[in-house]
Amino acid sequence: MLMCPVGVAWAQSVSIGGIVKDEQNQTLPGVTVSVKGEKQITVTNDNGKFSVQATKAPATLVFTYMGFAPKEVTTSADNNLNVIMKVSSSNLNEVVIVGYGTQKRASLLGSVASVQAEELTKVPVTNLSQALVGRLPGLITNQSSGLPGSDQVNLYVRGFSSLNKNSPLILVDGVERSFNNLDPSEIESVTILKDAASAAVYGVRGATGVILVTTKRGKDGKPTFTYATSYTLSSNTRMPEYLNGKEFVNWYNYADEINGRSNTFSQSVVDKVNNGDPDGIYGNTNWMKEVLKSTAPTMQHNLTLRGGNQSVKYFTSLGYLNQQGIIEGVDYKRYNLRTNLDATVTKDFSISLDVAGNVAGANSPQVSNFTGNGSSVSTNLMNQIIIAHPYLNAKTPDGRYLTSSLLSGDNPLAARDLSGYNNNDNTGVQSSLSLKYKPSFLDGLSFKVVGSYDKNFYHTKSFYTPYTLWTADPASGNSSLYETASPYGTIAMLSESYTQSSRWTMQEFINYSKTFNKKHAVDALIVAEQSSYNTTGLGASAQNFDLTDLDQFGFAKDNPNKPYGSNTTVNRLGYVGRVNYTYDNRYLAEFSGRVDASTNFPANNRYGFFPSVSAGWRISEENFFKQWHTAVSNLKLTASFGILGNDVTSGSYEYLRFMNVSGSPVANLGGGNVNGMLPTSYPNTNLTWEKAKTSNIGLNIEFWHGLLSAELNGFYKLTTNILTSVSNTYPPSIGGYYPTTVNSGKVDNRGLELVINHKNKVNDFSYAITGSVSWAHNRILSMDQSADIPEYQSLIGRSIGAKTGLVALGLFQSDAEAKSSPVVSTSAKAGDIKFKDINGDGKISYEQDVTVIGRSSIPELNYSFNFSSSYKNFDLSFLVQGAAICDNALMGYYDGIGWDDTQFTRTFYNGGNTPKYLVENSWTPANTSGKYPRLDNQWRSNNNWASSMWIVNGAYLRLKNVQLAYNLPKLLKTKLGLGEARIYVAAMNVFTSSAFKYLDPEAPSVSNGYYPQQKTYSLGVSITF
Amino acid sequence: MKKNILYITSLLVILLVTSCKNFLEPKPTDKYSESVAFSSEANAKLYVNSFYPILNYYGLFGSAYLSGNMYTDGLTDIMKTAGSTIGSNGAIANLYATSPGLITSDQNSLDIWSNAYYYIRLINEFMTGLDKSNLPAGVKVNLAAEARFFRGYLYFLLMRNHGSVVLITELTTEASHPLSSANDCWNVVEADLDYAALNLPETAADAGRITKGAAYAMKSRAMLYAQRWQSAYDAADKVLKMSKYGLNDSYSGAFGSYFSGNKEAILEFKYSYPKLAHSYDAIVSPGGDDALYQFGGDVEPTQELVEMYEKAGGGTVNWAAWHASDVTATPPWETLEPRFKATVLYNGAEWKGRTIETFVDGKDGWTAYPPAGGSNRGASVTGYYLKKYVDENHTDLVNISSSQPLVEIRLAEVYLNFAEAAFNLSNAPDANKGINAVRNRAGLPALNLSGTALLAQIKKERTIELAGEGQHYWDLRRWKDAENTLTGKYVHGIKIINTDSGYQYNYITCDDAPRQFPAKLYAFPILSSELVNNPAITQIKGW
Repeated sequence: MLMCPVGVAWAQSVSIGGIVKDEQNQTLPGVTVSVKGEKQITVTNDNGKFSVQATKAPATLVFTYMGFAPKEVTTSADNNLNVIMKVSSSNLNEVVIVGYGTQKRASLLGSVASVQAEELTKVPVTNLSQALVGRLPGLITNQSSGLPGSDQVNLYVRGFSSLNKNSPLILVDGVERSFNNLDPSEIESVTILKDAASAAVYGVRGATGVILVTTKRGKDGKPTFTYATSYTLSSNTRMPEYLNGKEFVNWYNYADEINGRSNTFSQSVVDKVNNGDPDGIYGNTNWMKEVLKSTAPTMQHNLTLRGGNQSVKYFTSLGYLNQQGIIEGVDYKRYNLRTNLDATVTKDFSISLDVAGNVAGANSPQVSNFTGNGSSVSTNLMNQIIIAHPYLNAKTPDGRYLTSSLLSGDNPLAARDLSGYNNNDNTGVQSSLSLKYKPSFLDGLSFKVVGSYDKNFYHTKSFYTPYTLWTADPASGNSSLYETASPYGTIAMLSESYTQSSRWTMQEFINYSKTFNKKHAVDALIVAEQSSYNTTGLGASAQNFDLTDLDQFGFAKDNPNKPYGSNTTVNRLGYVGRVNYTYDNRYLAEFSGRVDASTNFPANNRYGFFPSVSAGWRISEENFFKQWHTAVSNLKLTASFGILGNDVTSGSYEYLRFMNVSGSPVANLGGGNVNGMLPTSYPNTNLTWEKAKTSNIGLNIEFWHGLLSAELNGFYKLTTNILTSVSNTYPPSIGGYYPTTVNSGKVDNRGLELVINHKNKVNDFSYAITGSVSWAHNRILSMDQSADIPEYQSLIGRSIGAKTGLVALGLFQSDAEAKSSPVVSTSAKAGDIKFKDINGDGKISYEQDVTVIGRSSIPELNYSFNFSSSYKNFDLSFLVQGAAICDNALMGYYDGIGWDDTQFTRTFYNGGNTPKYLVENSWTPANTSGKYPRLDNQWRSNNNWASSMWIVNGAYLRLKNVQLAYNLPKLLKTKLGLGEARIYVAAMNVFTSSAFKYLDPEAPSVSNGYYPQQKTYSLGVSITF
Repeated sequence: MKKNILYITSLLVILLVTSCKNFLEPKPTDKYSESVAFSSEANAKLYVNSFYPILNYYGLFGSAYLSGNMYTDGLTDIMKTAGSTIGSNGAIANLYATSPGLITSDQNSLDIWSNAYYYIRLINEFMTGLDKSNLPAGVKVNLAAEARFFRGYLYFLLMRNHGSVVLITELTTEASHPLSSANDCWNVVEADLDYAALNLPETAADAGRITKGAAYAMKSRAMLYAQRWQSAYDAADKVLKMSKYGLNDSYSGAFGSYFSGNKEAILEFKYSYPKLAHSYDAIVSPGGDDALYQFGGDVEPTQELVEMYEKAGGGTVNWAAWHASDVTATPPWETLEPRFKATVLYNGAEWKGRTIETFVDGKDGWTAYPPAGGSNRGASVTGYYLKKYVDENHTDLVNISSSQPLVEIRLAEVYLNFAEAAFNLSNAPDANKGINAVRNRAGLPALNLSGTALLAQIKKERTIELAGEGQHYWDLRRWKDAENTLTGKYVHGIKIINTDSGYQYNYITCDDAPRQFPAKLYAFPILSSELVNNPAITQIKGW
């Protein structure tokens, strides 16, 4: 009975056979061949051949193969079917790194973005973070400095959502490590985890996002050497043009005239500047040209060896970077070495050993603080360059360094060449040993133990050597010079410090992964993680050297400061659980959570639980959807919710009270100096972590098997318990008897990320386009401010980093107008800034009339357009990247002082040189339509406040990088015995467009002088053999 | 094999779960626990030591007022500070002197509220801990007396600023505190200084710690401000009766340490270079001292001060001839009493083995006010330099900071406090006795005055005796004389031109605008940071 219908079926069956090949005409073994609507399935053999029986003709055969677009062929009996399969551009099968593991993109539930090795090394960068700009949707970036060794990009996952730490947790191969000292060539991928679903496994530290860096590992195959080298020339992106000597004296004297003063520069000095000075003192110096190089070279070499067999795989890499600064004496060198080994010991047991080391050192002249921070303006060499007076020669004919009595400054050339040096060295070792056990008798179960130990040594040494300047007195006009010490003193000073940090991490994994009844896929994970981080420091200083040739303490005569030492430990413990369930590839669900303990918190608040839940629906896998499958190959909806933490505290043990024994004497009692002892600040015994509740909704759609795809994510994040200072909410009369910080801040953050990919190949031309937009908008919901602060001053509802100041209404056009208007100072007159009297009290006072006048410098919107293409042996790619919804302030905020003018807001600020545009556009009786306040060379109380006059739109568009490469043709490579050979030219920061065209749009807010981002041009070669 | 590995793995997981008891209780390795504070007398003393910097901070060399306390005299008619640009050379004193509108409840460089209450809290906290500690009763009383001296001093300074303040004498986290009545506040000052005076020894075991004499002397000063004349009189009298103090034979020697033989020093703060030092010499020295021509001359005596001095041996000087231009006669500087020569450096004075040159383009220089670029760069605006307290033996001003001691209260002041208290108690004989003690040391004849002439002489003697010691501004406010003395007035100097035929002396104005002192400045405003966060407080009237 049973045989009968079968027999009937057999009778009508057809046999179909043939061969499957790829577009290069290579046979494809292992392709799954199934008959549509029937149960028949087979696989192509080693020669790509197959044969299958279908019950009726014509039959539709479906060919599927990993990495290729599925193909359907309808045919009747045929034994010589020739099927060509095209490589799929779909990334659904791509494996994505997630927290403590990997997942296929198709079944991914969290919001993650990643970038692969090829993208990271397209254009030579000196710091890995630079390679991430514009490549990871959801990553908000800002690079404020181009200083060798300090040119890392600030990274923020989905912008700001805390009033404290906003920088993400960075894990390199699963362990918290800095990636500033990594060589970009040793990186396989960088992934950012953006939402709670993906970051919940990092618990108390995941709230600000997580960046996972994975290093390259060995591969099955013969040993492959890759040698890559590049030579880069860099120059400043933007620096304003400053007055030359002639312009300076003319404008300065004109400022005197407007003020009704006698000319500072006598006619004889003006003549010397214009016509030459027989004494060689006055002249026309372009200090930028004098002190800065026009271009600075950077050299990189990297050699890697990669290979392996079934039992041992290896990757080893050796890197070298030598980056010269645009200022002589500024440089950064780095050496990297890494070896990642994987060995399969038995069928079930494998072991991995990773060892990496780096040695890096940055040098700069001693007087060279480039950060632009206000408190150290005087030691900022860039500041010295821009303020230096151009009517003086750099040196007298007999080689004496000149400075002007009108300027409490330095001679930047002397500061560069004679001030000594700063030297920062860093040596680090990172090691991990991992044991993996997958017992074959326990299907689906695996165990892993990873132990890591990292050690970093930091050494800083700074040696100041005094030097002499010669001061000219242009006010007197006489040609005698008087000897002046450098502004930093006449005593040589040496300071040196050593800091070492060590971190050990133990992670134990139990993983269970199994599919039941082909439909129920379960993946469960338990991790226990324990880490301890210790830093120990030692530093000393000494001064007064008879000779300054050798920089050792033994030669110093005084050591007024004691050596100091420090030692702190932070321990953390966490348990992670995650269960991922997939039903029939259609319905996805994941629960994860972490219990964390951190010694940053008091015992009663030490443990926290951070859960997340997420769900996904692959609509495209539903039967009803299959009819549209050729057009819409993937459609997935995901949603997640979770709670994450941020364990940042401003120091360790903030919940405990200590007695602080003063390091230096407080009084001289009983015939000698005595120390004092005071309690440290009031402890917060209820200290706890910040909590970020994050929701995310995602939509993934793919058309025509990867020809076009898009990913849209929307999120809302509410961060509570943010540690904020509360000193502004207590009256000073209780003398600070309250915890300085409490968990009271509240911020929400919402945003959207859209990525669109398009990949295609037309004959020999293939290209890929990725466009992405990330928008994140935060609002402060609660923070430290007085209860009865007027609405116009309240920062509640504003974004973090909003700029405050007075509202400028324009400039007074007459002294009478100034007299009759509310002003800061009664000395205000025509050409001074007219401010808005917001509280209407008839006066302008900064405290009363200050309001929000600008947005944060961190952009709300980042976008990028990434194009890459190849044609025959050439490939071309470029990245356009930009930011919007942000403001920059030209006035500066000085630590401990507040807002003040800068070189970019006041002519002859601090008696220094001034940008040409500022002088030329300033208000003068002859130029009453001038945009900027009255030309002056004096301090004026009316104009030095932060005001909306100095807020400029920070939006910019940048041609971030361009690369054109030529790959050697196959024939030539074979002749030369090379695997791959490639030569390229590349450029970075080629073109920038922004509203304010005199400064780099990413310049720091206090820009009295900073080391600007660099524009670079590179030539590179990469050879594989 | 397989099983073993499985066991090992499981074991590791179990170990981790159970072995972390101490792991999460790490002990701090570079901080002391709060339990050490009162574990011994030595530790508690270390705690009290931390209150001594109060003397430095609010003293002449400290930075409590105007970013440098030595600048407060520049708010009066007797001194001129040199800078005109914020951040340089006492510019704030000049700005405040002519534009007192800059003083607001939001910003006041003369305000000390936050710092004073910070220390008051520390002292309250110290006393709370001390009280609970197991230290012997005698030790407790002694340490409490030392601490309460500082609290009394701080409340006195606060009262001097505001006239009535918030009284917090116990540790509190309560934000609501109203201003207390002046009477209650002065009671606290008096009680604290009395407790200190009663319980402290006349001679401290550690030279430099607060003594009985210091507490009484401070009380005599504070009670003048409180107008508690009897209390002031009694406190001064106690000090005057102590045999350990005596006026230094020479006025110029009155500013040394008690421990190097200056019996006049009652309360002092000692410095010791390099770890405890100040920068008075670099700030005040004549520009010619500093070969580097960078700083100096920030506080300069005015012609107004110079003209207050009597002739040596007594008698007034007629300065009318020098209130003119192009005068060729040398001003009568050489004829003035010794306190002038100890206080003022003038053109031709001997200094550090050289002669002072304050003429235009002289070594010490002269510059117009406001100076070009905002800073006088070591030149004088008035034609004079301040000499008092400057260390003549200090030569490397650029690299080595100063360590001359601060004599916060010296016996001469106590005589003057005594005189003023006595006058207000209608005790003219004692009032005359007080000023005559001071005059006698200056080689001036004794006076026997009464009524307003006596009061005027007490004030004048005090102005001269304490000139440049950071007291005059506060005295002017206390006497309610500031409006009369200052409003609408300019301070003056002498510009000297060195010509081939000798010096030409020119009487000049050293202010760019008339000085102003509105009556409301007699009590400074409460800062807005206090007003907005302390629900119980109301602003002082007039602000």
